[in-house]
Amino acid sequence: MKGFAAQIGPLAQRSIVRTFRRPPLVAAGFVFPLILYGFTYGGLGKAATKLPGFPTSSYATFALGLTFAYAGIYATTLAGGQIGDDVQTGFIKRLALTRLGSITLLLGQLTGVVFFAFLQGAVFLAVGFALGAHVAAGVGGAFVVVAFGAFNAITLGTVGIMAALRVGSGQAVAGLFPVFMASMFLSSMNLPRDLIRAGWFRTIATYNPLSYLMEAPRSLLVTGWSPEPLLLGLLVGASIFIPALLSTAASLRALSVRK
Amino acid sequence: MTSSDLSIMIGVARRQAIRTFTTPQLVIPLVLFPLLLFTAFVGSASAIAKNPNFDYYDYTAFEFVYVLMQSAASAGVATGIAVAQDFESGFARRMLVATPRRSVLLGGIVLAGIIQQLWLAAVLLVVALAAGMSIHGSAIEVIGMFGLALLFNIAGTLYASGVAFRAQTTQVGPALQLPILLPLFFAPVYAPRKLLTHWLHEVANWNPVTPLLEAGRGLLAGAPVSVAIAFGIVGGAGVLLAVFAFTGLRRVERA
Amino acid sequence: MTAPAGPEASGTPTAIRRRGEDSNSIEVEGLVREFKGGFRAVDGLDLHVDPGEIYGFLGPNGAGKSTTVHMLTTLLTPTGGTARVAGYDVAKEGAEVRRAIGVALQEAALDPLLNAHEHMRLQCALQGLPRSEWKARGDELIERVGLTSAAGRRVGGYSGGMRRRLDLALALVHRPRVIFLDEPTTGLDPKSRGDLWDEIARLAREEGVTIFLTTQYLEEADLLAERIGIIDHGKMVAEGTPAELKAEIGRPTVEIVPRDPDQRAALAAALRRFGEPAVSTKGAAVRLQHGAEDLPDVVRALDAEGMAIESLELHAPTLDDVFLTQTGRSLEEEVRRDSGIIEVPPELAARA
Repeated sequence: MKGFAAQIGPLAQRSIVRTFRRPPLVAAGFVFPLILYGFTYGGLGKAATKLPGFPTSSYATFALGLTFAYAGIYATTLAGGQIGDDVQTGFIKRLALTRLGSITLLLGQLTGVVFFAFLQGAVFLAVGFALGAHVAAGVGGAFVVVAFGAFNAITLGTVGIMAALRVGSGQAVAGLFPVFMASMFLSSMNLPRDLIRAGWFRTIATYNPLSYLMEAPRSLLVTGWSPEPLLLGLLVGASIFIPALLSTAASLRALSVRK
Repeated sequence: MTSSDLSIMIGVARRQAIRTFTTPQLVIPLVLFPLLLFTAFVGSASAIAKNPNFDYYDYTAFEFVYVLMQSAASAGVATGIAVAQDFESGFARRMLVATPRRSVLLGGIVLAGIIQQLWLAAVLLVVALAAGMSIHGSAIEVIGMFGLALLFNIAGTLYASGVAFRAQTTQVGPALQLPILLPLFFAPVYAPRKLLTHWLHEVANWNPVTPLLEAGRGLLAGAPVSVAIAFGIVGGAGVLLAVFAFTGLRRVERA
Repeated sequence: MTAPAGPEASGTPTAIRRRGEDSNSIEVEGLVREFKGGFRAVDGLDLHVDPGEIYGFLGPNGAGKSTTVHMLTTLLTPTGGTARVAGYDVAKEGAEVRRAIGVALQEAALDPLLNAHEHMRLQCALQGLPRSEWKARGDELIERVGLTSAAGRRVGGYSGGMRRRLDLALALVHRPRVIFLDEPTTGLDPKSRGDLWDEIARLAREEGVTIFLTTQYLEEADLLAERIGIIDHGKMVAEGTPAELKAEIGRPTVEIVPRDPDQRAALAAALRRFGEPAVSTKGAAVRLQHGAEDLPDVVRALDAEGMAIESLELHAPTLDDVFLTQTGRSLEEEVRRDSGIIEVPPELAARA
């Protein structure tokens, strides 16, 4: 356990350092979701809140949920891209030749991503508050909202790592980002699912896992502590995370031919 | 322009178009992104049309115009990125060496952007009509709307080519897209200007893309508004960006 | 460039050093790696490397050198045969093998965004060194490879030589008993190459580390390695000390440059009767059939044909001659071709 802790620290540190030494990557992690937030809030804020049954009078609060789903989506690029680069540069072989366990490597990589997601969450909340958003679940709820962003980052970051190990290239993993972004546009990002008028779109949003990863933190912001969206978010996240984790661990084991 | 210039221009455009349409990595995002936006906007936010202050005749048509303009700009940017790729691969040098009058190359690049845009507009129109969009404008008005999109596309191509000539690397891709995408985002996308949140309303009032969208929507609805302003903005931008692109090309020639 | 001191120069005879250090050896028997589609990159390889020895593994690109290293370092599972490194089976005791070895692979696998200190810290942690040792060990190795002044800079800005040196330092973090260096000097300038050679020789001489060095440079193998194995198409084609291998060939090469460059073809034709042609960029060369005693006959023959000579040089057999004899191909030529160097036709070279 001592060895595990000693290894994971520098690995996590490396992951954080690598992220922050690429300023465009850091900027993209903050600027793009805030543009998306501003664009959605500005475009729909006045019209959507007048719809009968809309759950809050503050669209700034409602739309803030999408930034926490974005934190997860961005983690695919961040975690997957870093592992993909390691595969391309051969650095992964260096890691495979050490005493490092596959789970330790994965956790080390995710620690950096989680750290970044917490930072993103804090900034997103601060911007949301500045635009008039609130957290219905209170101060404790605000922490859980940020934690949910980190949970999304772990879930989708693992998918990114899995893809990077399978494809072996950071650039290929970057190709996943538009796919996830497309999924985000096809989710309940703009309106609650029950208010989506087009039946076909409501069906897509209902089957889209990202809707649930977004609705969980949003429920804390908009309605307070309600177990159903939170549980659904956790369940959907776990159903993505566990297979991705198993696949990743298998790929990492195969890399270092452990017997 | 001599017949030789014209044949070079067509040759450049043809090569560019063939390259785009036969490379899945290029053509799929080009067509998929606007279609996705169209699906997402129409599907997710059509309830907005129930707002009593929403005074456009059809939400699908309302979003069609936005996506048409957005795809026009994106096609232009994609053409510019292809130019940057040519510089990275060294192919641009080959073209520069082989062409007596290099400004003709720029004509070919613009023509390639136009071909891409016409094709993209046709795909979008078919999809929108299949999704139940109705057209209230006359044939002239509709042609005017597509003409506006075409000019926007040319301006986008000239801008992106100018950047590509100067940077000569595809790494400028994101920086290339941002100045185009930002004005497109902070415009009346989901709802008419009067339904925008206060701060976005203020931004949209100053955003040059706003008259473009409103003129396009007006033409499609058969109730033209700010058409002259829109053509003036996009035409003026086209002239300025042509200068930007030509000076970029000159810089390449001098290097 | 400085030629590193060989084992003899250290004053410690190899035989004495080997005694009692058997666990530092490498034992390979019938090693096979077959890829999908039936391609055998390594095909029944046998080799033995003594403890504390520098073993040069020589061959052209695609000969199976890197595949062998990957198998011996547990990065690739053998599909046949056995291999023991530092006393452990590479297929069954991977973790133990990894603990005993240090590896610098062909691509200097470094993170461009980290600096040398950060790389060292990470490697120390991953290799399980006590935290209290990290700084001292890192600083010591960085100094040893001459990177102290650059250690705070990100690796992305390092030259190829600096990267290689850092890579080597990282491979030494946990004081390995066996070190694998896969083409450590490929692409380096002569100065960097010389520095790296010095360090490799020092490791074997002063620390008794066994070094398995793959290379496509004959000069490198000749200077550094105590014994050399030549691999081609996955099979060992020759093995021995450089001197033994050259002695097997025994025949020197004579290279003659004519005063009149137009006579190169005639010169080559005249020399052909004294043995098989060898490579010469300036004139013509031939590997003498009966050794140096043919030389007077060569001079007489050229004199009889009225050929004026600019220069005549007698070359002792080289490792390339060994490779040529064993495989029918010149390794130097293959390396030159693979690295994209264009061979200038003799007529053009003469004109130049």
